Amino acid sequence: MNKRLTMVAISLLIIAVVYSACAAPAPAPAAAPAPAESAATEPAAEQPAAPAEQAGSLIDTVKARGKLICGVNNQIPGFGNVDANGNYSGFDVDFCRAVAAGVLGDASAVEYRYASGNDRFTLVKSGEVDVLFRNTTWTLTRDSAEVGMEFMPVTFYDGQGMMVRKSSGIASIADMDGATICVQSGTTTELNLADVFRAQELEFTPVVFEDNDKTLAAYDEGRCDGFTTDKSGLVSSMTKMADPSEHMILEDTMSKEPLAGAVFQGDPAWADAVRWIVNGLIEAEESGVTSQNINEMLASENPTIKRLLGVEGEMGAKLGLANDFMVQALTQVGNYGEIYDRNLGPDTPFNLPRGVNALWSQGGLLYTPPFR
Amino acid sequence: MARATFPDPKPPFYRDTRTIAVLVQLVFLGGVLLTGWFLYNNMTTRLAAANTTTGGALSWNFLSQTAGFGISEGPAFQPEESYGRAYWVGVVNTLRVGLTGVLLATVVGLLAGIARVSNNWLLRQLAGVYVDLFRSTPLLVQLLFWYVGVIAALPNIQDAAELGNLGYLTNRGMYLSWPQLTETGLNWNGWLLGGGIAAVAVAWLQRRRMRRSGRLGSGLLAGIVAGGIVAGAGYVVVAANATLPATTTYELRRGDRGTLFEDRNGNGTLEPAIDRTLAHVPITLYGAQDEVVAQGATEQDGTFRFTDLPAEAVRLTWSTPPPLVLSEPQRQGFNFRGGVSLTPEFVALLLALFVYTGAFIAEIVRAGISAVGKGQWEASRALGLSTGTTLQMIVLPQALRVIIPPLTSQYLNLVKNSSLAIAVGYPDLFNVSRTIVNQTGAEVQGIVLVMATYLTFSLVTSLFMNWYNQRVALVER
Repeated sequence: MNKRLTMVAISLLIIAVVYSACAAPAPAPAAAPAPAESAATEPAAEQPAAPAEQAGSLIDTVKARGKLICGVNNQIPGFGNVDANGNYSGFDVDFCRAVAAGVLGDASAVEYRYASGNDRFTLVKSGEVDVLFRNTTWTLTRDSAEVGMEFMPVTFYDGQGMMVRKSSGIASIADMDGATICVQSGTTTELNLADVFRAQELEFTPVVFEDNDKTLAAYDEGRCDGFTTDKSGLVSSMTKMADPSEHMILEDTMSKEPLAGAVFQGDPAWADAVRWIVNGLIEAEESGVTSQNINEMLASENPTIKRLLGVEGEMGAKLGLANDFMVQALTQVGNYGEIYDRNLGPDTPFNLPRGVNALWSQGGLLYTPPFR
Repeated sequence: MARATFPDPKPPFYRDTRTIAVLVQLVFLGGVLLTGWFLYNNMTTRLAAANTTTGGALSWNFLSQTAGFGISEGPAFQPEESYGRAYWVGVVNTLRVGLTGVLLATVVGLLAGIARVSNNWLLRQLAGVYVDLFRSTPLLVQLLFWYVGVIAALPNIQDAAELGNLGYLTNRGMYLSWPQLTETGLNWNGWLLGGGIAAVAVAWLQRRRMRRSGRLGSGLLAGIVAGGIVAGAGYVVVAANATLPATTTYELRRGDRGTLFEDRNGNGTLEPAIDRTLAHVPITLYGAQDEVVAQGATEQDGTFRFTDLPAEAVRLTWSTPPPLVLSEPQRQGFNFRGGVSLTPEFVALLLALFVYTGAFIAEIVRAGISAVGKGQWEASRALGLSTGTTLQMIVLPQALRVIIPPLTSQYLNLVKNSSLAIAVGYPDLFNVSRTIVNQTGAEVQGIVLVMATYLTFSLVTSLFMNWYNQRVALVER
C-alpha cells in the first residue's frame, strides 16, 4: 500500500520537475510577466511560462541573460570560422560582436551557435538564437511570414559564382552542359543553379551536401565538375583546398546575393535595435568615426556624429538601448570599413576589393538612413 | 457476535489497490496529456507570433508549389515540378536503398550466420571477424569510410577504370551496360507477365505433384523453364512484328538535342500530354551537307543529346530497334551517358547499410541455429541426411521461429538508418524534406510528413513480418 502511495508521490514529483524544467529556460523578463497581447490568438487564458519571450522583447531577454546568442557559420574563413581553440572570427562574427557591444556593452558576451544552411531559419524561429549572421541571402520568401525572418540591412553584396578546374577547359557557364555540380543544400545557390541552367537550356546533375566543407571536399576529390556558392564563399573556400592553383572562378555572376543578418519576425523592438546597430557601423564609416579616433570624435561638433555617439538626441533610448550604444560597438569592434578590412581586406589571404560594398559616396551600395 | 467486533472489512477507498491502480493511471494519463498540450500550445503561440498573416495555422499548400531545386538521382525530376513531387522522389529513393539493403543484408547475414557455426575453422573465424568489426563501429563512421575512403579514391572520370565490357568505374560512380526494353519491346511486357504467371503456376503444380509422391523440392526449376519458354516465344513474336508508329516524328533543338515522339494528333509539335515519346530508338543525325554528324539512340524519356558535334544537325533518321538492346555507357561531355549508373552516394549508403545490418543479422541467425536442439542434428544425421540437407530441411525451418522477430527489428533499423543519407548527400526522403523545410519554412509539417512516412514503412514491414512469423511458427494443437 505504501509502495503505491510512494509511486503516486514520485509520479507527481516527476511531473512537477518536468514542468519546472520546461519553464526554467525561458528567462522571464525582469518586470513583465505575460501580458495579454500575445494571447490574442490563443483561446486559453493561462499562458504557460515558456512563451514568456513573446511577452517582452528579446531585447529584455538578452539583457537579463547577459549574453547574446548568435547563429553563425563555422566553415567559411573570413566570414564565419572557428579555429582549433574554438574561437570564432570573421566578418559575420564581428557583427555579432557589435550587436553584443551595443546591447550589453560587452563585445565578448556572445555565445556562438553553428547554424547549418538547412537549420538556420528554424533556429531563429524557435528562439534558439537571438540573431543570425550567417552569409544569408535576403529573399522575398525568407522575409515573408512563411519562413518568418526579419532581415537586417545588407552587410555584403555578393553574387553567385562557379569554381571549375583550369584543366577542364570550361570558360563560362555555357560550356557546362551535362556537368555535375556540387552545391550546399538549403541555400539560394541551390535554386539559382537550377534557374540559370534551365534558362540556358543546359542539363546538370546537382550533388547536394549538408555543409560547405563536405561540398567543397567532394568537388576537390573530383566528384563534381563545378562547385558553386557565393563568390565570396568561393574565394574563402579556395584557401582550404588541396591545391588552389588548379582551380579558377568563372567570370559569370549567376545571381544577386545580398547577404544580411536576420532576426525573428514577431519582435519589432529587437529588430529595430539590431538594425540600427548595423546601420550605425556603416554610418560611422561614412562619418569617419573609427575605433582609433572615437575619443576625439566624442568631442566633435558635427551634429550627425553627436547623435551617432549618443552625445545628444537620446537615440539609444528610443531603441531601448543605452545612449552610448554605438560608442561601445565602435570602440570594441570598429566601424564597417574596419570590420571589412580586418576580415576580408588587403592584409588578409582573401584580399577582396570593396567593389559594390563601398560606401555610396564612393560609388558603392552602402547607404544608411539618417541617424535622427 | 464475533463478527460484530471486526472492523469494516472494506478498506477506505484510498487504501483499495484497485482504486489506487486506476488513480495512478489517471494521474499518468493526465501528465501525458498536459505535457502534450503544453508542447502544442507552445508551438502554436510561437508560430502565431512569427506568422502574422495566417496566425500560425499549419498550411499544406506548399506541397503544390514549384520546388525550384534539382535532385541528383531517382525518378526523373525537373526543378519546375512541385515540392510534393520532390518529396515523392525522396520516398522512392529511400525505398530503393532500403529494399535493396534489406535483401542484401539478409543474404549476407544468413551466410555469415551459418559460417559462424560452421565446422570449417577458417570460415568460422572470418565470419567472426566480420561480425565483430562491423557490429562494433558506428554506422556513420562506416558510411563515411565507404564514401570518402573507398569510393572517392577511385579514378577520376577522365581516366575511368574500364571493367571489361561491363562498364566503367570512377569516383563519380559506376556506369554499367544494361539491357533495356526499347519502344518495340513494350509489347513484350505482356509476354513477360504471362511468363511469370506460367512460372508460378507450373512451380506450384510441380511442387504439389512432388509432395504427393513424397519427394522434397520446390518445383522452382520447372517453373523457371516454363516461364522462360513463354517469354522466349514472346520475344520471337514481338521481334518479328517490331515497327515504330507511322506518325513518328522528331523535334530538333540547337542542332544537337531533341525528342523523338509519336505525333498522335499530327500537328508536328511535341505535346507531352498527348504525344508519346519513343525510348531507345537508334537515330542518325545529318548536317546541312547531308553528311552524318552523329549516331546514337534516344534515352528512356525519348530525348537525345549530343555534345561537341562537328557541325549542327539539320535533320535525322531513325530505324526500328529490336525489343531489347544492350545500352552501353559512352563518354559524352563531362559524364557518361547510356547504360545504368550507380552514384557513389547510393553505393556508399547501400554498402554501409547492408554490411552493418548484415553483421547483426548474422548473430541473429547464429542464435536461431543454436536454439535448435542438438538432437535434431543427430537424428537427422542418423537418418543419413547430409549437412546441407539437414540445415536446409531440418534446422533452418525451426530456427526461423527464433530468427524472425529480431530480424524484423533489424529490417526496421535498416530503413530508418537510411536517413543517414544526408551525410553523403544521397537524396532520400529525409534529405529532400530538409531542403523543402528550409525553403518553405514549413518545419512542423515537414517533420510530421517525415515521421508519418517512416511510421508507414515500419508498420507495413512489421505487418508483413508478423504475417510471415505466424506462417513459420510452430503449429500447436
